[in-house]
Amino acid sequence: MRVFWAILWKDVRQEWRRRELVLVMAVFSVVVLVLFNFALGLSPDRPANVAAAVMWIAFTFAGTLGLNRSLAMERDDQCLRALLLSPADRAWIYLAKAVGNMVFLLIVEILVVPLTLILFNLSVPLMPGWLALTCILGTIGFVGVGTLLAGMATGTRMRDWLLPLLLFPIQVPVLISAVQATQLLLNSRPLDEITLWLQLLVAFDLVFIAASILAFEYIVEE
Amino acid sequence: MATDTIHMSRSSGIRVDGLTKRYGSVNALHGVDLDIPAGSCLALYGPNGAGKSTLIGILSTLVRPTQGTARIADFDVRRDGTEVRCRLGVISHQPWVYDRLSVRDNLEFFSRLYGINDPNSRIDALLREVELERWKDHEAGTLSRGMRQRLTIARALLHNPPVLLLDEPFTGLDRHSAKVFAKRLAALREEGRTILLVTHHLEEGWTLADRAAILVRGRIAHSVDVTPNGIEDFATVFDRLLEGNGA
Repeated sequence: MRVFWAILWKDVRQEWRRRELVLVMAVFSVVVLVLFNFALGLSPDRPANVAAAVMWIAFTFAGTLGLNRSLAMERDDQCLRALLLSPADRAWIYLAKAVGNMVFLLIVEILVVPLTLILFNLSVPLMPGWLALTCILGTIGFVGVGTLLAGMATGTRMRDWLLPLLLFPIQVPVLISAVQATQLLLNSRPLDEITLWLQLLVAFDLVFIAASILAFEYIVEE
Repeated sequence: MATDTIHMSRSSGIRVDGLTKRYGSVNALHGVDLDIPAGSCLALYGPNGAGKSTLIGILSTLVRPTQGTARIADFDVRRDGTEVRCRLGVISHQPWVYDRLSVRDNLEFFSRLYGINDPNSRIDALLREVELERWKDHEAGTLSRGMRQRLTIARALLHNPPVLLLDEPFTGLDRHSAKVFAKRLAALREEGRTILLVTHHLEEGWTLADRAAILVRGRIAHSVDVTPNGIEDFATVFDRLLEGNGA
């Protein structure tokens, strides 16, 4: 745990000083939202369904940017090797990087969700807590496997396009579940319709995190 | 004189047997044997692409060997990675410190990774040792190349490792910084650490080492004991091997 907190605190501290990662992700998300809003008109058919899809598109693209930068920062400072040279358990290194990425993406989501409601003329959902839970579960699935793949891509010359190429197909089940749950919540559907998608999200999260913990050690070795 | 094996009599600080690393069809290392006893220093020379960095990568548990074994302080680099990393300090020509963190923050961060007891006094002592006390609150990215290299030494010594791997540590240093750095390495050598020094700088390596070897195309092509007057003969062999290698 000591290693986990040390790396997480270091990442947060670096981001606080740079104010680079979260800012870029937030600006990118807002641009995506505004562009879709203009393209689809102010009152698209079934606005809640469209808003849910657009919101997760913004999260996905912004998250990919963040994942690429997060590991690239370690690479730029040539510090990934120094991290791996320490006796720290590599599972904790992976978890700390993943949680750091999750925190940064969740900060962006706190900005993006209300903005989506405003831009698409939606009222606050009846169960905002469940919407927050959906965002958290979807984000865990996204950064869980995304951090692993970013670690793999960062050591290659093709890193800029390799991450989205690998990440997006793997993310399809998580994104479908997250979009479906978000649509139902924004349409204020009853909870029993939503829980199936949330259970699926939990299952994907567990599988992705477990597989990533096991694979990280082999991915970072040459 | 040429030999595939470097043998010294005492127990091993670093021991490598039949180490091979293949990247696809390319043999980066080809059955390398090394025995560097505890407390001694080997200077390893070789042209670019000889496999020196691959060897350092395997010894530091970052690169998986294709064949053969490597042991650091009697721990196998494949099986006992954590034990090996506890006993290993690596200094490269790249600083491996965070540019946006201060000198002290960098050392505090790495001391947490190594689980060092009483990190503050250890960091203070190291900052004094590498003469960076005045710069402790400066961001690492603002330091000169020589100062960053001193910070790298402090990072590598935080956990007081008995074995040091030095991968071309003189690269990019000006003449004065290289001299100061060589002096610092000599002090580490005097403390009884086992050192594998990979370098292109013939004289600096010769001054520090007990033994010198040349790695060419993934094989140890030549090795000798270091003697005060032996550097010229060694340089002649080195040049001949480089010419033969097409360098």
